Amino acid sequence: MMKLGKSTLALFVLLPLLCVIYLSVVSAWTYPLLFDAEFSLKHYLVLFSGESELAWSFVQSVLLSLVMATLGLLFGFFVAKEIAFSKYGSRLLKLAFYPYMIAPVVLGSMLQFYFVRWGLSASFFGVMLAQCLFILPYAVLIMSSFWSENILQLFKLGQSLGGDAKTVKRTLLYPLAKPWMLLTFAQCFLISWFEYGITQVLGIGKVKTLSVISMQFLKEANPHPAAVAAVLMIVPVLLTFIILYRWQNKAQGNWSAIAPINNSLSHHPKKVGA
Amino acid sequence: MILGRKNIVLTAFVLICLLPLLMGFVYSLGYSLGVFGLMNEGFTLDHWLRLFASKDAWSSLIYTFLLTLVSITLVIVFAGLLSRAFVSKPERSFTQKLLLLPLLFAPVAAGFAWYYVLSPAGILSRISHALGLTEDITSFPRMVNDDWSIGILLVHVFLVLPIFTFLFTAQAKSMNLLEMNKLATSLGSSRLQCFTKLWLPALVKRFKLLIVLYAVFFMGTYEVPLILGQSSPRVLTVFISEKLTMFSLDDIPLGHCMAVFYSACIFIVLSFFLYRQKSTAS
Repeated sequence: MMKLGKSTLALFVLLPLLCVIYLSVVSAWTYPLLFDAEFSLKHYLVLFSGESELAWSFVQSVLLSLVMATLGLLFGFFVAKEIAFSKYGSRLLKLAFYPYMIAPVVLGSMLQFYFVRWGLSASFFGVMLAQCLFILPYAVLIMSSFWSENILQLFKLGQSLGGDAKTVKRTLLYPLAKPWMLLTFAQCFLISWFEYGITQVLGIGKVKTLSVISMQFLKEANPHPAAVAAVLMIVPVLLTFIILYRWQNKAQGNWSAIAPINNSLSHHPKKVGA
Repeated sequence: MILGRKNIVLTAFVLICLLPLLMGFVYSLGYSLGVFGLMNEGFTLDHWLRLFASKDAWSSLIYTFLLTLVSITLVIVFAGLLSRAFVSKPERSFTQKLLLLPLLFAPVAAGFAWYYVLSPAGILSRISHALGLTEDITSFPRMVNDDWSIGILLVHVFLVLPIFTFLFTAQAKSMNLLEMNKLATSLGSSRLQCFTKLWLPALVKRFKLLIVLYAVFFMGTYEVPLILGQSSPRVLTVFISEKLTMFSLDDIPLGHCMAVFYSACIFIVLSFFLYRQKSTAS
């Protein structure tokens, strides 16, 4: 019984991944061919042709996600500090859930008028701004779990022992905050990386991130390039995941901090009510 | 200086959180009431009356609600079962590591992958053909774009199950639920009773807020139903984006009405759970 359960679970999680990888390395996968379709790397080789829309889309996605992760980290770090030591901190922090819980595609549709009017529609900067609307509050949510009374006391202790503010920050605060900063950066990167709805609505299909182009191929019933796009979406996440997993192994041995990594719903309500 | 750095930062935070939502809400509300928009000619409730008279809108609303309910129930039950199995195992067993895989998938990639697993021309159909269980594409049961939304439900469970399983397992360990389970068994409870009356209720109560948040997330899901769902009934997000972006100008106010309705519902539900719940929820 246990073995059957394990096998079912393994099949459930492995099948989609294997399917995507397989589809990306074959061509002409017509029914009823199963595993004997023609092996071909041509869908990957196109990436290096210099004219590939997919390669440009990958670069654009990486750039967008890196910018969003950096902005999220900076915003989250400083704003969370002010919120943590504010009189209304926990109440204010709950506001961060609102932009995040409205479906991005609906938020984008409601804001489209303003974006068109201000000339931000269909531009990289416009999509970036749109993603900021929910990524920045989310970054504050994660970083707020770092700022506690204990950290403040440590900071003061460092200063009372003779360190100036700059030294205490460099030698005490930043090393302590490193795991949270890494987590915030990775989470913001992933939210941006996974995002489709608002990018499609406000980018009007002209800002072609990997998720947008993947959906485009899918609508065109073009499974092989779509599979390559999906593989390109998965690999950076895998790398991020390995880094987080190793760090997690070293740090705590607790799953919960990296568990809510997916589909952009990684806030920990634990921190909000506190 | 009247406004210190702290106040400026806090004001900026509040503005970033609320201003865009408010702007979008006001515009959509105005459009739905005939105040804004090129086609509108002044204040009217006609669009709202049309929305509530529309069978399409109601079916979309009910369908989204049911899909959310079934998705979150499936996730909770399966995560409960897996946490029961994992709780006595070492923390990094192979199966647990395997369960991290779905976290690599963006909803678009998951929807795409499952489409080619479940569709009539997909992997499962080809396997069943190779085994001689089905003759051709048409004899394979429909699991994508189907009446029962099997594909959408599977992908929802696929994407969210790992998170709930890990959280449930960690919590079950910290609450010592296994010992309580043993005690209940020794007092005569069956395994099913232990699961339904002890294990699940304890975990659900502990993660009530997270469950609500994920339910709200399922209500706003877009990519997965777009790939694996039917054209009718469709989820709210697909309904709204279709009405707002398709070519029928008459339908645009309906899209705005539904967007206002949806965001107001989310706002009320979130406010109720975030601000009314005591901090013990954490």
